Amino acid sequence: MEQQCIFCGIATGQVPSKTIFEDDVVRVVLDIYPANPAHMLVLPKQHHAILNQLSKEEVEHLGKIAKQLSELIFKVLKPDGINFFIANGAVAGQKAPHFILHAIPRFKGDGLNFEAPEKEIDKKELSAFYDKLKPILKNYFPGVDFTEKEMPEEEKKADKNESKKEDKEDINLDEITEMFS
Amino acid sequence: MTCVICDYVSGKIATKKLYEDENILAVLNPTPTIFGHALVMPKKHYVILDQLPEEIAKKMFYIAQQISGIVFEAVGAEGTNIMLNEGFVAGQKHAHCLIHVIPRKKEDGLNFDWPQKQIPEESMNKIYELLKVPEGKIAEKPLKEAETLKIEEKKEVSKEDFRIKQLRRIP
Repeated sequence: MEQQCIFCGIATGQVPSKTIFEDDVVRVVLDIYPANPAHMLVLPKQHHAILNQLSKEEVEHLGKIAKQLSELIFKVLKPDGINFFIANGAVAGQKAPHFILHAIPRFKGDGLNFEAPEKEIDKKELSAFYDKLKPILKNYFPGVDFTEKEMPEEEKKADKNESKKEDKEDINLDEITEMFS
Repeated sequence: MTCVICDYVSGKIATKKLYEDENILAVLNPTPTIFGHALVMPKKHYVILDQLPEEIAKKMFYIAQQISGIVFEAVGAEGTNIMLNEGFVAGQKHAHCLIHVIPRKKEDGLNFDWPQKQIPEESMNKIYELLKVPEGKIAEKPLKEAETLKIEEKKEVSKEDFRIKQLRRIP
């Protein structure tokens, strides 16, 4: 625990908070200066400044907690959406010295914006960047095959049909997809 | 029904792969917000996080963290934003669950900051009473990992699912 970190105090319970949930790894509290009502902070009990310092176990635990919060928030508050958000570093908007996963319920017309606008980029530039990236990727993910291969057209088609069929059998999401199109 | 993200997974749309295993794919976003923008996705078509088997949700977060590290190294980023947007109102563009990893630099023109709201104490208390989870209840489902995966993958997403109903209110 870091002496000067208020969020360590909150996470460990020494500073009072409205705790939604707590286990050995994290504490989930209501943000007192929220972006929206019921804005929650998921605070690891261990002090980390940024995401990259969290252990694999801690990060995976965040995934599990986020999934459960998604269910809880949709079920109880019936918002129009949720943003899970991490700001890693001051340039990314991080204001606290303690790593935080934000869960922000969203309501139509609430004035917030977490959209990541899509832009077209130069394909050559992307390829050059990817070539530079490959050695780093191989280092991080040793088991993964990064060879780029063009699939023959026929295989592509067969592949596409198969995956489509599979989707339909498993979950009927046609209607949900429609609302995004 | 077409899904662009499913097309990334099937290879119908060519992408630059950052990670792949049985259940998860990560790629450089072909239409990035900013150079180096990465997407981490489940291979199967799930709309929101809550529908994902727990093991896949956990792994996706881990892969997003690793890619955040890679991005720091490769792009010379000074920060990253990790975002998972659920619902059209929240900025979800594709009906396929995604984690965005966005490299950040000074004066890159992006801004995800929000104004802080003042919520009256009474309302805070109300929200708290609504949401607080009885001790330990949200977390520990004492199922073995393999069993969890099996059960959850079989689970059908019913059209009457309350979350889907809510999402459908979006025009």
